[in-house]
Amino acid sequence: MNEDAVLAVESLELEILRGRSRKVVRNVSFSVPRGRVTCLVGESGCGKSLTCLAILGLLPEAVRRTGGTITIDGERVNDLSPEHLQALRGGKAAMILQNPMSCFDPICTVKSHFLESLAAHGGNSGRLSPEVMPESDLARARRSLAEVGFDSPDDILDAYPFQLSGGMLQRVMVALALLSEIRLLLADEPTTDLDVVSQARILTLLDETRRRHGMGVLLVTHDIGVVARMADFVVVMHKGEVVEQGEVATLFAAPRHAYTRALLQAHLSLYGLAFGDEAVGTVSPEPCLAAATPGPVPEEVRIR
Amino acid sequence: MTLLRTLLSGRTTRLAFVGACTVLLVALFAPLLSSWDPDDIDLSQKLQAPTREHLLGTDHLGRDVLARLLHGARASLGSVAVIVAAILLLSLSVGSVAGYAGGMVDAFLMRLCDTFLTFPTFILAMFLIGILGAGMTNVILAIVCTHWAWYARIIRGLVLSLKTREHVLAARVAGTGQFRLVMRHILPGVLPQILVLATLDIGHMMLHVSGLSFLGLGVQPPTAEWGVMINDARQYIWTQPQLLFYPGLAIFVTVMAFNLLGDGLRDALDPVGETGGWGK
Amino acid sequence: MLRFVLRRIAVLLPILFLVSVAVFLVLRSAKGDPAMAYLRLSQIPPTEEALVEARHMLGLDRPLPVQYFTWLGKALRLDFGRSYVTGKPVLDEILYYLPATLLLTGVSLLLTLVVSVPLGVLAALYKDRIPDQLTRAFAFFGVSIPSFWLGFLLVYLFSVRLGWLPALGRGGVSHMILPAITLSLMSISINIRFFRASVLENLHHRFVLYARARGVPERRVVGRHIFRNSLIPIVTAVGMHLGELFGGSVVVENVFAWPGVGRYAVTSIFNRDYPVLQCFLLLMTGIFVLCNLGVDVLYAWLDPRIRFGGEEQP
Repeated sequence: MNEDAVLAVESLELEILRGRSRKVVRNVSFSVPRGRVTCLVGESGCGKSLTCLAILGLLPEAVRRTGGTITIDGERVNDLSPEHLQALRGGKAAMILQNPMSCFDPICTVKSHFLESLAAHGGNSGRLSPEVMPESDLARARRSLAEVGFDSPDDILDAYPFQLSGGMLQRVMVALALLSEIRLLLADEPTTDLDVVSQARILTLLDETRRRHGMGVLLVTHDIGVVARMADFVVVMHKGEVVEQGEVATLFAAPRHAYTRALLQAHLSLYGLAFGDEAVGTVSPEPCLAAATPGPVPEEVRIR
Repeated sequence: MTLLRTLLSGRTTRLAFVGACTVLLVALFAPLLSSWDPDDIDLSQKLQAPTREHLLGTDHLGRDVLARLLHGARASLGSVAVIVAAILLLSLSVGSVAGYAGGMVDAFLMRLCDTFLTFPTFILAMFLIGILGAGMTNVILAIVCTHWAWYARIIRGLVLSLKTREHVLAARVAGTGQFRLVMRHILPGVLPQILVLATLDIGHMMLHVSGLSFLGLGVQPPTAEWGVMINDARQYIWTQPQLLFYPGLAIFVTVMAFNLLGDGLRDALDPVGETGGWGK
Repeated sequence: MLRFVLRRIAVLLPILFLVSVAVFLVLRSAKGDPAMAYLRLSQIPPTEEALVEARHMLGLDRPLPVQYFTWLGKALRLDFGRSYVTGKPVLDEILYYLPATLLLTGVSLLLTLVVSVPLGVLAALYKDRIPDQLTRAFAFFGVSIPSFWLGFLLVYLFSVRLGWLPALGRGGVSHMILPAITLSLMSISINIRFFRASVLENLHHRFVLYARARGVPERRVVGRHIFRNSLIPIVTAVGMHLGELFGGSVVVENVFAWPGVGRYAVTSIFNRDYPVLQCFLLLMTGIFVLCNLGVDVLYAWLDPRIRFGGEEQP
């Protein structure tokens, strides 16, 4: 893959060890270019979440990587030592997960989570440019929270996770990810448990963040609408394999694989559209949204 | 019958079931199994070592130890059986009524349960026996009094959750009478879990019964009971320690069998749950 | 926090009232005539007039509710009457024996926590492997063994055969060892299972995954997130153990001739010394209730979700 990729996955193979071992992910290869969004899309159970976990070496006990290489920012991360892995996670690459409420320790405040993450990475990101003054941990946390749109970061910091909504916690996760100068952001189904307004909000936030910081984003989702909204590149997975991948415009206009077609068709039929309809000529899902929402499209939901 | 088969699917569960049944059979057929009368005092034969006549020797009053052990099963298991039956009857009634009726009835019955649950169980049992007098009947009464409330609360919870299930609502819409509703639709959902809990508790109750008997508050001499036998034998710990060993071993093995059985039943009903099991 | 405590106490009060009524009624139904017992104690010959006089003096001819409130008033002032046997105030007698029981129970509780927590963690971290299987087998035996039998087995081994430890009585540390082990084994076994389940539940929690994803060092993940969350249910379990320990102490005191309230109470049962019994029940229950309240408060303090009760998202 090209040198401009922050993430390059080549021929990844994952196996489940329980009972008869079987391959759950076969020969998966794709990349995430710097500053761009690659969407990994497929139905539940196709292996996309496992692929995402495998990138940071967070596979559950029963699953093992049996082949392939993973390169983050030019560095092979397959067989890193525990210390290197730990520095990588949250340092060079960060992850946000679905169902944010269950991801936070219920007996620790948000502040506690921030201080913990900061302590894990030396309190200061290793990539601060020399002109910037090193700030205290708390100040960094506040800055991060302000960046993701919280007006009073201190209120958030003092709260316990159960006191915040799912949408808010998802934004806190982004704030935690931004504590270091990450090159790669992995987002595993970030919109799944959220209401529509929060979904739009988090997607906009991810987009802005990407633009501002220039990291590559791997967005795992089963929602074609999210793909249409966010993706530069699309990787379609089905039953553990990549069936098609390419630029989002090409894919939407002329899907080659039957499964991709089926996915797109299923999504379009929600809006009463079909392939071949004039409205579905471009990438922009505005027609879809126009069909779904009577009246003007609200500001946050408008796309690039 | 298929329920029974699924419940007894594990190997250790089957073993425990066999063990528990063995003890039950011993209790039932004790007089047939031993050639000696457990109350037969013969001071000339006292404190004998095991011989062909007295397979496990004799106690301090010349009674055959084996005979007393076998008959002891009757006292222990018999009382626990009555206790469990009484507790189930009482707690099922109170728990179902409280859960089903709701409102003031529920509140009153639950306050009643809370009252009983305030006391540490063994101490309350002691108090009741102290007031009512020693003896097996009062031990049974005391243990029923101290344990029923815990079951009633659980049953109430189960009934509450079952009350809103689809099949119950469907029956109500169809106009089923309340009594029939409870008996036919709610209780069958409650029973399996309660039976598992009761089986798990049998061992615990046996320990209480024999513990109270050991203290002299339960079965009165000359009736054979394992706890009483241990109390009788304590003064001979220096000379005839085996007299202490056998009855305790009998309690230990029986309690283990029922605990194992209860564990197996619980795992069969709910294999995912790894939530402790004993103790309340 | 204070509101939580007050709320708990408020719920407790009606229950305590019902409890006192129940105890009073049971006491009144006891065999034996308190008037007779009083006369016997004071060594007054039990003539008809003396009985009537005694009954009047003891308030036994008043209506039942009045008797109840008199009794309650006395109980609240910690006046539980005099022992039928010794004639001395019952509370003094019981308080004389109470420290020994509290010592034994306290040490056993400590032993329970010290032994069961590490074993529970071990069993959870090595699930289904040798350490787990051994620990679970140990816990299984511990729950099934009658404490009085265990006590005598230990005495036989360590006193009779080996002569290492004393068989009875209270004295120095060596007198405490066998009774404490005997008393705590049941609680240790229950707690091992309980704690193991708690750790297992937390091992696979998503916040563990997320902490690792953020690059938090493994030591902190285990120490802070897994361990602390696993400990919280133990706090509530302590209440359950206390009930078990109070009951078990009666038997253990009997086995080892440990001079505590349990032993005294059993003797009183044989003597039909009802005032002692009444005080024993009320006192032990009172301690039990207070401990449970303390445990609930501690639990609320540890788990913010309980503390902040109904506060939902802003």
